[in-house]
Amino acid sequence: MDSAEHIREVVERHAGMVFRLAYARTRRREDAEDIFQEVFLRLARRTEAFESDEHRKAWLIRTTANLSINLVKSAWRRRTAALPDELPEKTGGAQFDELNRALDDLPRKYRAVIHLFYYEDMSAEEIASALGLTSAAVRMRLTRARRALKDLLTEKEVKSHDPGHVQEAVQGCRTGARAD
Amino acid sequence: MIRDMYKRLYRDVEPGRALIERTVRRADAHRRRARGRVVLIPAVAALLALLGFAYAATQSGLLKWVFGPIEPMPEVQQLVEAVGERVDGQFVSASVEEVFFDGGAGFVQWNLTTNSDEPLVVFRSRMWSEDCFIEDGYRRQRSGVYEESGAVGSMFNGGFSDLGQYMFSAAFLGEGYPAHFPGISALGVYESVFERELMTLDRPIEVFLSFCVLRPAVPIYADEIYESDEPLNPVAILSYDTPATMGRFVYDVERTTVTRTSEDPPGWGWGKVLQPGETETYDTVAYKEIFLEASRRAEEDTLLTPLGLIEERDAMFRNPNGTEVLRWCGKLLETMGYGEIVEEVTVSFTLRPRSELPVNTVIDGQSAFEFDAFRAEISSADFDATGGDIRVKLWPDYEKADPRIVWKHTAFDVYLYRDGVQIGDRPANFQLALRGNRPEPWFEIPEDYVPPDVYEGSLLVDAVSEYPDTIVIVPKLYDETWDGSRTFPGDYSMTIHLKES
Repeated sequence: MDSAEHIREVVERHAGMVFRLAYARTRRREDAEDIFQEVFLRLARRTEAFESDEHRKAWLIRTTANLSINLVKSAWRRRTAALPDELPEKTGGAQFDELNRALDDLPRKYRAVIHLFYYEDMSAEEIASALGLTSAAVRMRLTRARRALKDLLTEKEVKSHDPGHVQEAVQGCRTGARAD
Repeated sequence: MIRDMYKRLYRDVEPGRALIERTVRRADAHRRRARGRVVLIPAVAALLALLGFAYAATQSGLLKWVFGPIEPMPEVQQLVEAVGERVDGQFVSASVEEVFFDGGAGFVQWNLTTNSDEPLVVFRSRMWSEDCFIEDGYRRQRSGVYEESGAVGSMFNGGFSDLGQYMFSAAFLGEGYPAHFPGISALGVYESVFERELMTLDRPIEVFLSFCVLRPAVPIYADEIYESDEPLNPVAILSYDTPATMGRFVYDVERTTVTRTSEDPPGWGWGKVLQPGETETYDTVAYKEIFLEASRRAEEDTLLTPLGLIEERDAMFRNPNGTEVLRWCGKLLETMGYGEIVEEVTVSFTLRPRSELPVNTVIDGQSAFEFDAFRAEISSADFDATGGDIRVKLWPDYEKADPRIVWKHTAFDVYLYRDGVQIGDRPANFQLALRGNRPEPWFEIPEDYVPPDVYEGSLLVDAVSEYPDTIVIVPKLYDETWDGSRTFPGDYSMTIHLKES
């Protein structure tokens, strides 16, 4: 990064992608903001040149994903972690609310791949390359993520119609009762 | 359809203009500093090599990890010691780099490096000492000092589940995995395994840390750190800045099918015990994404193995020598067919006493509060350089209770102020439940459970960059529309003024 103008150009170009990925991983705006800043600060400190714009984009994705992991497991995050405290602006209807909440419940490890796949329209190979995973691992996560999302959405649908039943099931699980 | 909904959902998730501008400004400043640093590095490195300990204190990755964005006070920096102990084995090298210790609790930064090209699975023992009991990475030991990692836990599900707390999760090193693994572990010092209160170390002690190196005999694959959120994950590692080094074994159901022999004593699992001759599959291969599903299995599975090693476990608990326990666990893994032990490496370091940190605050003024739903008393609010310990007692009036107060899960936000300005960029939400607010074990609430008359405990506040003169404690209340608990500023707020002691 050889000038302030260059930094601005790169930040402006990738701001949305980095922020959305950070948010998708952490589901907290404050955390996403922290990660957003740290990603670009690291970019500014980086002295090696990128081979291409795609290389830079992959680096940004990977760094964002890694920083999200670090934040999740850091002592600081453990201390301050709370319920997701800010939902994205609702763009309409109960379906969105359900999807939104399902994403809160989706295991963190799936959030990056599902986001890059659904929002950034990246292929499994591209995601693998950006995140440093194998294509097989990405495909496996995508399969599991979609299945988990489907299960979560079904569960929330059941809950919204029959909260008592779910509470009963939850209690049953807590006491070790077999549900079958 | 989900893709479309997903896109519409995230379309409005954008960084604000102010954030972008702030980031550009800071990034440009970093860029200029980075350019200057290239010239300065050789000279600075030589100087720092001479300074030794001072380098550790000011550049400590350990402190950065523990305190996050907070700049630790100078008193804290003085608690960091560069260690630099290293043991080289044929397959791995282990080292202890830094210790942050406040006299009773702290953190240790250690490193593991492979000397081999082949993929290896390396388990870590608990830290242990011949002189006293070291609680290791299992729970928060003291304010300002947080635990990282979990023990392997359910790896030895069922009859051997208690073993999990004696062996820590594994790192994958070598071919296809990182060559280097940095770890940070919490530690607390106790007179013995039976004591519950931290001791203040009054003499140097030697602390040992062992690594058991296995050459895997079954497929392994790396996964990310947050696998540890999942109860059935058999292998989890601790790491603070190396992602994608998580791993677990791919379980083979047939391999873990066990039969109880008539001679085997009952297991230690919480669930059922196998009858003689009964065979049960150790069903951890059934991977479940949903926590409740996994939890149910974890509680019900009971494993009694015919491994002929059961007698040894008693000796293990009488004398929790970390190296021996690790060796025993490794042997169990080896016997179960997961790998071959190729090496054991033990590194040690000296843990030295520290001067006690002075408490800098004392309550000044009102410390008792009365509301319709409860009355409360804050008996002390002690802050030192590593954080705060706010002692709280609550007497609920169940008949007048606010339905938003869920006593079983009561947690609090603590807001800290200095000269009227909040300390930290964000509300400091320390959600630590009070003792007595739920029966143990928490998942087995007995039918005859009687809620206690008083809830008592500590709100352990983590390190701050300056001492507060005012703290505001706000209980979190259940919000039906939110489907969760959060604070309602002003509702049941308890403001406590502090002065320097």
